[in-house]
Amino acid sequence: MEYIKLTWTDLLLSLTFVGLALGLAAWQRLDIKRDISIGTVRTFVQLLAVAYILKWLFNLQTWPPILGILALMIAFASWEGTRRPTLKIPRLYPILYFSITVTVALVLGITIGFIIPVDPWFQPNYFVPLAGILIGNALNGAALTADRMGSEIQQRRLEIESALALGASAGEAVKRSFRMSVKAALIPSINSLMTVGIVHLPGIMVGQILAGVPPMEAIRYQILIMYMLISTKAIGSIITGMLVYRRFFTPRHQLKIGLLEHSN
Amino acid sequence: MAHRTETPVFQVDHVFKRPPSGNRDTYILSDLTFEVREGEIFSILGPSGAGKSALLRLLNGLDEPDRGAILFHGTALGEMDVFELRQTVGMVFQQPVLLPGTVQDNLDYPRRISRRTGTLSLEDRELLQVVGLSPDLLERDSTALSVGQQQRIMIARALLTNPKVLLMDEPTSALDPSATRRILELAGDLRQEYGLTIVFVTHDIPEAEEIADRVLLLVEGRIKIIDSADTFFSGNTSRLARRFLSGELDTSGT
Repeated sequence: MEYIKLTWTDLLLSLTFVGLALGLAAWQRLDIKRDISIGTVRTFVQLLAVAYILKWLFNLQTWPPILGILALMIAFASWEGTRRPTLKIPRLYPILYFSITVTVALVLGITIGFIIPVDPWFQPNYFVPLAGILIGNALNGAALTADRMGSEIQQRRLEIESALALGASAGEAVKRSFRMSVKAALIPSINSLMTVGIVHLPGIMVGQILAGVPPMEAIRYQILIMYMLISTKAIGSIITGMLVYRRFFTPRHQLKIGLLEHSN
Repeated sequence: MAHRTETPVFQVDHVFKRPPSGNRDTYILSDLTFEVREGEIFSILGPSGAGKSALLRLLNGLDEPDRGAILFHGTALGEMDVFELRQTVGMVFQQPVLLPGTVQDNLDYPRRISRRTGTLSLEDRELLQVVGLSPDLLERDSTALSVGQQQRIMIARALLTNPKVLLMDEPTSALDPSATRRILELAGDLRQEYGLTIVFVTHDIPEAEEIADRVLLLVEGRIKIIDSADTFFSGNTSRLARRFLSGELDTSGT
């Protein structure tokens, strides 16, 4: 199977789709023409930039700049994550940075060390895209956990303080909030394990198939990635959960009730 | 067995507390100085928003003062092990919050806490009787209980750490009159039979009058009156208290 290259001229025709969306938006007066236009341009510019960066990366022969890029990606992801929770959680950034880094290092390490025999280990066309997927997922898990932890503690304030009043530690008092938060963060990934291939065809598999990879091979990568993702979510969420609840307590196991009244 | 003594359990010394959020230049508790004595029922009376709960939370280290000191039997609270403090000074809140499961599960909860300092030497069935519940409730689902029964379970749970002091934060506010009456009687019994010192927060004058040995009237975070119940509820003092509680007077007016 030979794969058909898309030329820039071909791509020009794809603007028809944008035109179609714009036309429909105008017809229904959705007032989102501006957003669609900006989004269209941004998609083009951002992906073009990514292509240049990847092209440059793929030519790298040493690992330090690749790990540097990874650190930068995690920095951006953590920053994005601090904006998500509804409650303002103090010093959330270092928690996210730490939990994403540990999670990605672990899952990517196992993958490259034992499953995909990449040589050298930092070979950028494997390392960078895989890291990207993992960082995005670790971020989602961590941010969901942090957000949910805030609302659980808010809702269970009485339960938590009743436990503290009995002499429970902060960790013991939030046990149920912790479980609820981590569980909530895992549910989307569990759902996608259940529905993959039935409700949706994942992008990586579609991409490989379009690139001429036989389906039986393409699904192997997809299965690997699905399994990597559930593990990433679980590790990222649990680490985040174990760190983030502490932000709501003083060292003397007092609930900082002032935090529960401030929205982000 | 219990008798009141002059020995101070708590000595509260020029305590100030800022609000947990919002304007940090104001105080919700200003310059509070008083003591709670062994074996007494000490009532903190005041209108809602006076800072009664905020004050109570300082006594078992659920929160701490921004200025001033609180001593428990002569030791600063800040220097005590916080787990030991909270197990020696038990607390019952306005709203009972039981864990899902049976009454037994709820009574087991304090025993699963890792840092235990004291344990009550009573069978669970006897404990239920102490708080005025039938021992047959042990296997009952906790959500099937009335709010009054739930509040008794909360009291039983607080007793399980074998406290010397019980802080009660408007424990009757969610209850109907007959359940309220029985909680007040229970508070009296606990003092009488087990020698517990009780700090009882309420906004209800008759409630304070019924059980208190001494009364502190808190208005807008300041002590307006502190006196024996006998003096407090005779004549002028209680009329003044009544006007404070009805919102007729505020602190600027005195």
